[in-house]
Amino acid sequence: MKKKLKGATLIEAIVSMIIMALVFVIFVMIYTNVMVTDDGPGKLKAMSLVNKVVSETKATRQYNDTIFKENNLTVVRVINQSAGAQGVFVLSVKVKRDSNNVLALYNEICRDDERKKDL
Amino acid sequence: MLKGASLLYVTVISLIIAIISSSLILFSYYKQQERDLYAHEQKVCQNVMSGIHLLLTNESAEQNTGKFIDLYGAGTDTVFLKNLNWGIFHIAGCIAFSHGKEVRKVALTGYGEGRKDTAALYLVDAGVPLSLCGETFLRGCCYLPQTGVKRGYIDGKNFNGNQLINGQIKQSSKSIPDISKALLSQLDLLAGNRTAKDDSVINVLKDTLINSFFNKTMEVHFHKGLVLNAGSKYVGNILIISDTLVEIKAGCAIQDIIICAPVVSIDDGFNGSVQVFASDSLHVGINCKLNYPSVLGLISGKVTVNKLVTLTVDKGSSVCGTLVAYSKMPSTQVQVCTLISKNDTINGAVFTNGAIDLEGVVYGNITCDKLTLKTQSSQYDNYLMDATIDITKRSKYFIGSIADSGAQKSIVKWLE
Repeated sequence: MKKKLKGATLIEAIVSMIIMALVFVIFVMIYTNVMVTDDGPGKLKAMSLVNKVVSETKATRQYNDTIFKENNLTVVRVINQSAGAQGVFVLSVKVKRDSNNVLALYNEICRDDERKKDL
Repeated sequence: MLKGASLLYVTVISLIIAIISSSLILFSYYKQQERDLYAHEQKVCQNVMSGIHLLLTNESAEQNTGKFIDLYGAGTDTVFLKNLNWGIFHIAGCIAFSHGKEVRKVALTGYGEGRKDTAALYLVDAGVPLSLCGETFLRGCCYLPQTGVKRGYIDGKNFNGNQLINGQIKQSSKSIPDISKALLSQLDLLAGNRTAKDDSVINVLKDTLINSFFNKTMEVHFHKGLVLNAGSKYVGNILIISDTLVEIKAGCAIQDIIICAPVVSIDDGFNGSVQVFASDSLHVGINCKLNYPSVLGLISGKVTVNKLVTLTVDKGSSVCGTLVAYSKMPSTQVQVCTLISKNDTINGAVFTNGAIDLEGVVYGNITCDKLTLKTQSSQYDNYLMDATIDITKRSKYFIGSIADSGAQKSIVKWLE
């Protein structure tokens, strides 16, 4: 009886290792996939950068088109006239990692007199 | 050396590892979900503010019914906008949606003073100079008749100050500044020519009524006199109309509603924020406190007989907001009179094309045809005794001007 049990140990060990390896590989694959497609930290960073640029723009009332780089991210601020509405403009701020990959986007319709107010 | 039954141990360990791994993956997934939700919420908040900004600039926005608009033409930023005239103010309402999220904002909006040098006193030039007696104090730019300002002497009281006017003196014209035509027609509607076909009309007044500004206006219409008792509560998009009289008792909780009747009386000690429009008489009792942004409007319509219409603020009351007493008819037919009693404090603006008897304090500006002073023995034109007008003590954020000053619309307060 004892001998039979001892004989099964090697098979058990191999099967166990295979199971563990499989579980580990599956986990790594899924986790890598989630992390790669998500780019969570990058998006969070971009969102916080967008909020910073928008609040600075509103505080300093520098409503002009500009492009600059910060922490390896490209910030694009564009001011457009709103179609079909008088007295307002669209403040648009984009944060990109490269030319196509927009990480965060902010659009807001603001009043023209915001630009004219005294600081 | 591996012991027997290690497959069981390893399977259990693998299971634990699998659970931990799954938890990590789930954690990442939910973190991503949470961040996306936050991004959507931010977008919805931006869109709702964009909608409010559009309503602040676009006068021709859909009235009362509301409409859906796509903000940036991409089809992903749709908002619902609603614009509503609300007394001398406007209601700007916006609902933004995205991925099942909905944010709604309603603001009370109005016009501030367009000019930086707003007059503390604008007295129409009828050829009578302004005379000051007693402890009268005027600070700010004053538009006065060509005959100017002088020291007066009435009932043994001379002018006690060092300087007649603490500010610039400019010459006024022979009529008061214009009211915007849109506002005038709105005030005319409230003063008695209103039709109720678009609104929800009810004829029973409950003790508590609360109505959102996204709903239809709840119009409570009575042909007889109406008393708003202590303990009752009326909040929001409610218009209370009586064909005869409305009496507002102290202890009645009123917020943001409009009350219209030929005669309106606010009982002593009332405290609240309300827009009241009367066509014959408006009386505010002793020690009342009308909080910002309150409006007391006395708008006289067409009459066939000569009459006197009066707006009276009794002793010790304070009003933060706008007082307007206006008649389209010439003063020979309708005499409009506003009385601001002793110990009253008005913080805001007073606008009338009639006379003002000012005995209290105005932190803000007065625009009027003439000032009257009644004593026991006589009545004097363009006399001020122991009165104060100080524009510098009014908040620079005050909104509630009815003169056509060309100012931009601004937010008075957020409602819902």
